[in-house]
Amino acid sequence: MMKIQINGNKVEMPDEVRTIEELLVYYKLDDKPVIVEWNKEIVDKDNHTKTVLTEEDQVEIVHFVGGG
Amino acid sequence: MTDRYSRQTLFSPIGTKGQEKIKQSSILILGLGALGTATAQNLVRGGVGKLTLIDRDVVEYSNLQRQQLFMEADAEENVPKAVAATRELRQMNHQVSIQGIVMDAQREELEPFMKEVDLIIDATDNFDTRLLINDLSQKYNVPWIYGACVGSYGLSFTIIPGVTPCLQCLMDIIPAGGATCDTIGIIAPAVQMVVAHQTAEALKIMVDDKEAMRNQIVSFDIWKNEHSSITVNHLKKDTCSSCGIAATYPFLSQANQSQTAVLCGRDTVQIRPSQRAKINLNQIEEQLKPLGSINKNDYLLSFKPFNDLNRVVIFKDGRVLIHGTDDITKAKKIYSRWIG
Repeated sequence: MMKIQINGNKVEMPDEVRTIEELLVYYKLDDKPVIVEWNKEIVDKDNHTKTVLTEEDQVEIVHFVGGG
Repeated sequence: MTDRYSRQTLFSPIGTKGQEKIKQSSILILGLGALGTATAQNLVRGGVGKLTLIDRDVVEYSNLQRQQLFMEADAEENVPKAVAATRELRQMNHQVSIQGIVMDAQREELEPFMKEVDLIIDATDNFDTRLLINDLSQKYNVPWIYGACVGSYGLSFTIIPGVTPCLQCLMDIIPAGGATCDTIGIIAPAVQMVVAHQTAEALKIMVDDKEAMRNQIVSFDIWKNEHSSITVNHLKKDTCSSCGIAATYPFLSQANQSQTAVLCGRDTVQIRPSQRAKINLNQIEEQLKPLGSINKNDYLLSFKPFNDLNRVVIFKDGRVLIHGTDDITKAKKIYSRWIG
């Protein structure tokens, strides 16, 4: 069980979440327009599957919605 | 009257000079749902010089929970949002020049406003219109403030042509549908949080306080207690078709403008005939009177067939709202059944 910080909150991630892409799948955001910041740097979409999360990582996820 | 804006001018980043700049400003708010009504109220109370409000919809009971300028009678009588909002705002501050316009804003309707407004506030509920705003903003060099919310989540970003990335740079996928107020609802504090960000950025732009601009995408979930600010300036793309070196403004072309749209917040489809001649509501009233109950005012005719659940609202400009469905095909069928 890995603990990471997401949008300011500490969250325990299940074992199957190892990469940014898997994190987005976990939050059902993988097919949504998102911007992901990982330890203060924006991760290019092409690198979401390559970027491996480790304990204490800080992740910020912004997803675009349409309501108003 | 003289101390009307005193608490705002005492705030030193604005001051009396800033207040004068606010008075000289002209702002366009697109959309008068939850975001638009609240931002409009803030700007009118704050003494903006001129405010133009555009919305295509009418007030419904399901709006009253969060759309703060509307009254029960507006929902009862299906008053157009632009009319109801203008009426309330004028009572708040007679010094502001307020123009409320009932229309479906597409390229040809919006373009004339671009030369006279200093800022556009996005209070729409769909990406079609936002991408249109995004291209107009770049073409005419007018900043705009994106704002959106669903559920308890919201976000905002200020787009300054030539300075920040544009919406196209930031969104690698253009969402079709997705979570809306229809599917997961919306709570008022999520709206008000977005409104606070949009209004603050609008004030900074009006008083020209560039250093105070946020320059970040801000997002939050007010129920889950999450908050995030991301610096995105380096996502500005030279190759972007909206703001890049060889910009073509793809969303200004007719092919990218839809003629039907599902409205956010309830089961409603809007149909916009390609010929936008003004139609004769009296004539339609005569035709439909035997077939159902009719509610008519100066702007529209609302028709509820006796043996059909789908209410139909016909505007003077030819637009039609089909209530009770989110199925565009079904809506078109209903349209042709009653209107031809």
